[in-house]
Amino acid sequence: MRLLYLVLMAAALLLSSVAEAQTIAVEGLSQPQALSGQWKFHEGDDPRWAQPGFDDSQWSSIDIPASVNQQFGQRWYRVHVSLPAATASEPLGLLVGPFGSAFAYEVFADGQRIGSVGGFRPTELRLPTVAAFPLPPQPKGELVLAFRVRSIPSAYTIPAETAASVSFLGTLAGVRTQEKLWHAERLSGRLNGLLISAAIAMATLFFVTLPLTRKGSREYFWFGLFLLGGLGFRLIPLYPEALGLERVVTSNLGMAISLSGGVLIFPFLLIELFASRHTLIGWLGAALMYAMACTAMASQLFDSPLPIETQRTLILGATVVWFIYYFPFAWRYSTIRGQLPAMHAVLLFHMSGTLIQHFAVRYFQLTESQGLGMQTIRLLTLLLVTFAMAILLNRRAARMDAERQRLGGELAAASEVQSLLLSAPTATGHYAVDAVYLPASEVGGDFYQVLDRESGARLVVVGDVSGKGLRAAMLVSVAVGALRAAQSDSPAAVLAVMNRALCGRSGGGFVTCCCVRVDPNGEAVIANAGHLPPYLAGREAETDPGLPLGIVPGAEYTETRVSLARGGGALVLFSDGVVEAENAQRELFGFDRTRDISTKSAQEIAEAAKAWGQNDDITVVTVRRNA
Amino acid sequence: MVMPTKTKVEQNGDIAVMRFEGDITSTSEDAVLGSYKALPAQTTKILLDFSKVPYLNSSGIALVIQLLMAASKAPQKVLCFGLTPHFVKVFTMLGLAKYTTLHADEAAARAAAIA
Repeated sequence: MRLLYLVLMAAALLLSSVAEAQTIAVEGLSQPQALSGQWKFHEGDDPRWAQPGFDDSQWSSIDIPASVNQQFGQRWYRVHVSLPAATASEPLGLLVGPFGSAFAYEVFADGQRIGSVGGFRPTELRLPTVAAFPLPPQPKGELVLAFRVRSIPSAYTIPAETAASVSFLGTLAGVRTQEKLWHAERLSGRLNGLLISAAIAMATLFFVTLPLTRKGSREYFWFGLFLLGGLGFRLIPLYPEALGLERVVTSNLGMAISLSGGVLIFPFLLIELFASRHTLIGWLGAALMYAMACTAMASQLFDSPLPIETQRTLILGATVVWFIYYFPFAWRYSTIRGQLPAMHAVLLFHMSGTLIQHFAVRYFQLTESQGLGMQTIRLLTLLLVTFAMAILLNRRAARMDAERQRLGGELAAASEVQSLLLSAPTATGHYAVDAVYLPASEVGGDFYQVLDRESGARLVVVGDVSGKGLRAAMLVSVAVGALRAAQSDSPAAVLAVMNRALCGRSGGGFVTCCCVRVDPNGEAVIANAGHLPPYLAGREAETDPGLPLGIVPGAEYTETRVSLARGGGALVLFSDGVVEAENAQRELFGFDRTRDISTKSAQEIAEAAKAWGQNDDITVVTVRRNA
Repeated sequence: MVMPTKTKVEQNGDIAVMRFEGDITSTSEDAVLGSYKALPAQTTKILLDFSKVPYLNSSGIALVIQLLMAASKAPQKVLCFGLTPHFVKVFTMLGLAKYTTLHADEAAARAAAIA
């Protein structure tokens, strides 16, 4: 826009030698007549310039239609029109615009204000369009039209033909029909843009709602809102007719949405993308990017003391600096962290998209009339960015699925390894040991071991690590390792060895454990470290309570002795997954029900607890003296 | 569904009452240990109110045990009340008698605290 202004200023200087005011003769008003010819213009603002008698002969001249462009501020145009002797009996009207790069103008006919478009406050913006105004009652002879025009600063160029001003004079009905036709053509011409916008809108919806189904994807939510901001900025001001709103309202609404997207939402997106890096260089990159966004936004809103070409050069320079800064950063992280840096690249493309549009319009003369005007290019840029994001998202999802499969495989391997740590049931020797282990997840925190001693005794151990998951499973490995390393036949001594091994390694948790040695003569020696006491013949064995393993170094444990009869009742050990099974009413299976079924087989006890409502690993071990 | 833990602390001289509400699980670290660490330095007796705690899982019990260990080193006297019969049995099994005493209600716990 500013480049055109410079060109026009140069042209104006050349033409300024033409001093005589020329009159545009209009012949016949049955059809709207273009006010093509010499117009006058002058920078500044003075209400007297609206008066028909004002001498504008010293003003600069311009031949309309032409590109009219102006620096930020006020400018007046005047044109003298000679009306036909026999004017139509119908009321006359004036069809104005699109009036160059103007974002607001007032129209005067013979000194009388007949209408306006836009506002004259900095935030009241409109895009060039056409508007019809009724002329005062039947003018005779010469008509002097004056236009008080306001433009805003912009770092970007409006295509020449969009900026070209052509006004028409005719009957009011005729110009209104012309206005409707113009809008209809414009709407039709924007169909492509509308379709592209619809695609972007769907992508926006997708990105915004993605975090609802995929955790850890907040950056896509902010990207979606960012797209929405850009979409609103581009679409809403273009379709005031469709929205049934005043142009000023739609322009302001578009700007408000854009400000939200660019200034309010953009930082959240940057934080998501950069803050996770926790690097100074990442934050510097975010700051630079945000500064660029704010600068571009400010240049649209406020009168910059810098010439427009300087602003463009600065923005272009910042983009180049960004590229130089960005790629080593992206290269490094793309090999470490996957696709997020590629999102930076997409955003960068988005940031520089306006510059690309500028060059496309400026140097390749792509225009709206060719179906590829600036608005279409902007929408295409958005569409490309959206598709790029969709591709990245797809690749990221594929990578996450692969990662999930890998973790699943590792969990399965851990589960397999853990199963090797559990002893198999055995019926040989003096005792038959049966065991059922039902983990609540892939890997559990329960364990049991059956270890034969040289003396002929058999050590039966059941334990439970506080907590769940891999951490608990790792602690199981430590506990089982310590148990197998313990050489003593004394259950209390074995627990003491395990306690020493676990202290300082339990991470604030603990391990409950019940260790029973069954001797060939039927005697069972029980030591308990905070575990549920075993049941014998339907009764709870009275064991001395002891601290769980892994809490207090040097903890000591006592032993309790019971006798198992040949072919008699079993000694039943289990984990708290049985007594703390919980049903839908949050009622625990409890000690009483556990006692009631303690004479059943390990499988029946475990299934009963599971049916009640499993929420933890369930382990049941029965030790029965063979007849 | 697990109920998040809330802790209300009432301080009266050197006696603090920590009233827990909701399930005590692995997510209750702030509610249990955080609240304990925030007690004033002059606290010498701590009453743990479990009357609004329907469930403690093993991770939650681990947090209570950590509190008891820390109080033991301070040294501070810890008294528990309001536990359901199920968890009275669990606490007893865990051999925590050296670090805390279990009481039926607050009055009994207070009486034991000042005894």
